[in-house]
Amino acid sequence: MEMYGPYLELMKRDDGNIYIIPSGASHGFVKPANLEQGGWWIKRDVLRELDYPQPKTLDDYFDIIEEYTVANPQIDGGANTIGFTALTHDWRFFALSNQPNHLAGYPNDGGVMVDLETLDVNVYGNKPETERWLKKLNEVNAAGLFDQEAFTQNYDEYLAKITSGRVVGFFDYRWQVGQALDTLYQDENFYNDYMAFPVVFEEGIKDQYLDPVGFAASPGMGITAGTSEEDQVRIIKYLDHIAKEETQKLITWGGIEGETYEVEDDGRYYRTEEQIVETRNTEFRDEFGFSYFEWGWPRMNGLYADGNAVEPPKQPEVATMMYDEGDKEFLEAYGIETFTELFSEPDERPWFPAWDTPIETGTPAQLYEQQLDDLMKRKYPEIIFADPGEFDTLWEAYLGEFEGLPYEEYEQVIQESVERKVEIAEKSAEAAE
Amino acid sequence: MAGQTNALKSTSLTDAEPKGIKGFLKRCKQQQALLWMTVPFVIWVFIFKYLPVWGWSMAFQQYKPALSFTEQEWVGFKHFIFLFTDDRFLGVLRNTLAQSLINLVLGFVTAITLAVLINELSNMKFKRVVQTISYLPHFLSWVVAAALVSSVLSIEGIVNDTLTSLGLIDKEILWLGVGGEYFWGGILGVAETWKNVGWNAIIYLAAISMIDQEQYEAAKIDGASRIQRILHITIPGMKSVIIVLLIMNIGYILEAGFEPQYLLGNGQNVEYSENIDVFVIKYGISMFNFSLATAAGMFKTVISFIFLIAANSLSKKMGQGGLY
Repeated sequence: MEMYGPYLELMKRDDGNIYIIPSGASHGFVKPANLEQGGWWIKRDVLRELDYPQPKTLDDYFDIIEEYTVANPQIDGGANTIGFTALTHDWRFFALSNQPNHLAGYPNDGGVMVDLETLDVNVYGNKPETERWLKKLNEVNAAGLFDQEAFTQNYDEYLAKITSGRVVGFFDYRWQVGQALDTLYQDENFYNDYMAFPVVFEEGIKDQYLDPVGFAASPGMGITAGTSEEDQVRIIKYLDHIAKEETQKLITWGGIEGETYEVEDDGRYYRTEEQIVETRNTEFRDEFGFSYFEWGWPRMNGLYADGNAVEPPKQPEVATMMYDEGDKEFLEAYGIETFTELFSEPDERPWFPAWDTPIETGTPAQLYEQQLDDLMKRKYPEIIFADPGEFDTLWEAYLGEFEGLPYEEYEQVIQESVERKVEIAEKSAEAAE
Repeated sequence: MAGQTNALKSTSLTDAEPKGIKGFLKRCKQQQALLWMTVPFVIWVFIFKYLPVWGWSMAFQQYKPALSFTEQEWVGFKHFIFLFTDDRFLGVLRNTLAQSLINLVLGFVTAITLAVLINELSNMKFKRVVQTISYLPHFLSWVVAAALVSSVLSIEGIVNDTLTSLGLIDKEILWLGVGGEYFWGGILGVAETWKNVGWNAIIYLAAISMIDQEQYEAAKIDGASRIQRILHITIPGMKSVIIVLLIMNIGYILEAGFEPQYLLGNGQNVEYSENIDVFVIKYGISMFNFSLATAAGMFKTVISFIFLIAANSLSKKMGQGGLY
């Protein structure tokens, strides 16, 4: 239970009981070597051809896309180049609607912006940030750079499109587009891979694409009350065993010194080149048991008490050795050591992620979520595909409908949760002192 | 066995029996073998069709799965009011009816036509091949079928390719992205027809095979052409089957289907694709609002009932005989 120690209070629901054992817990922030969260991706081929530009603002980003697409209307001599595509299918619509938050320098807190100082919670669907984002997309569409199928393609079609190499750029979270990017990474050609940038509205805004240390209480396990008491105890014992640092090390590092990892004199863990190759091999992972236990909950992340990273690829000693020739070329071109070096460190946000707030069934706040989802899915395509001259009228129409939604109730629910989490964090900080 | 045949025989003699409670008991006794045979089915219907009606009580509660019946909060007609006052629900209802009617008409016309055409084929091998190919899509899951439909209709799909090369359209059209009435018939209707026409034709083919061959021979001798034989023998011969199916399908008028609308629907065509079932998933089940889903289901059942009775009595009035 040590692993969940700092979070015990957060796991409790209003009645003081713990209903779900969350899937994992973070201990300390480690900047990953490769981006795991959201970013503005551009195909490496494009970057190389345009002499390695580094987009900082939204305008920079789309200028790069425009420059390349105009010069190369077709890719690989057949298929038409798609300037910018978007993932909008079903529940993944947030991959298009979260951007105003990111562009304004907020992390992935879902549908709200939480002020760092005042802790004020605001929805942003009706804010100038959203207008600015949609206006940009509307312009991008008018310039012929926006994928016409962005709102009709499903998740698989979207992944296939990115894997095909026709897409110049897109915004997405690494874990969501992983299948496509991994496929591209595994082939010989390293120019068809994508590289991500932390783009913001204007220079001077500090980007917050990397997740702050947070604790999501909702994905996790509950044990059915129908299980016999004896079995319940056994299940808890098992989970307790898995949650021990010792066991976690066995799962993530493999646990056999000299075979799956090495230890420096000062206690730092690392892997030799052969070990890296071996532990990456799917067959070996299956045989050794990595694949079996890897995502078996509970799972720690961050740092162990001895300062080593929980996941080997996040240990700098391992990460830098994992880069291939192509990676190195681009790292060198941008003068960086790791791909996340371009991204800012996350500020401390004890409430993160705000989207983890439980929302009660049958409340206006819950209705708001569904109604907003419907409204955005209906109106965003209309606004983006419209003639630029009609943008203002359509935006006003959308705003009119948005104002009719019970968003204030929603803000209030999130507000309460944010304040509660901050309070708990402050208390435990005091206790530590 | 002997008792059964006795009972069967006696049913045809009931006309002469005495009336009233006494006569009823007597008839029951005579037909007891038949009555016993129906018992399992009555029990089955009761358990699976009548007991669940009890669940309708959920529509008047703010149902929470963990609580027992007596602990539920009663909210009266709240969920019905939510349904009927939501602006979108009217649109959703309109879509459901339109999609359903188009499916009904298209489904009937195409299946009957296909059955008649297959029946007219004299080459047995060709006949079987046509039949097999036409009913195969019925066994495809809608998930697969919808993926096929969306790739056919995509910007680089075969429909756009054909139309542009024929010069019928100048620029590719994103068919699934253009909201409009044409979604009902043009996409949904055609997709449903493609998927089900062969399957639906099977029952009509069976009906055709029941028609007495002598009628055709007699008509041939009298000099009736092929078209005349279809119009005056085949189609009238299928009439009773057509009417039974029509009445049953009218009862399902609010069941426009769920999967194709859900899978082919997107933000751009939502105003034409969303029907009651999709609405119920979004605002009922996926929000754990089971009460709302029940209310919508109840509404559908009541409407179906009205349509079924209306169609049945209409058909009786027109002298075609009804279901019951």
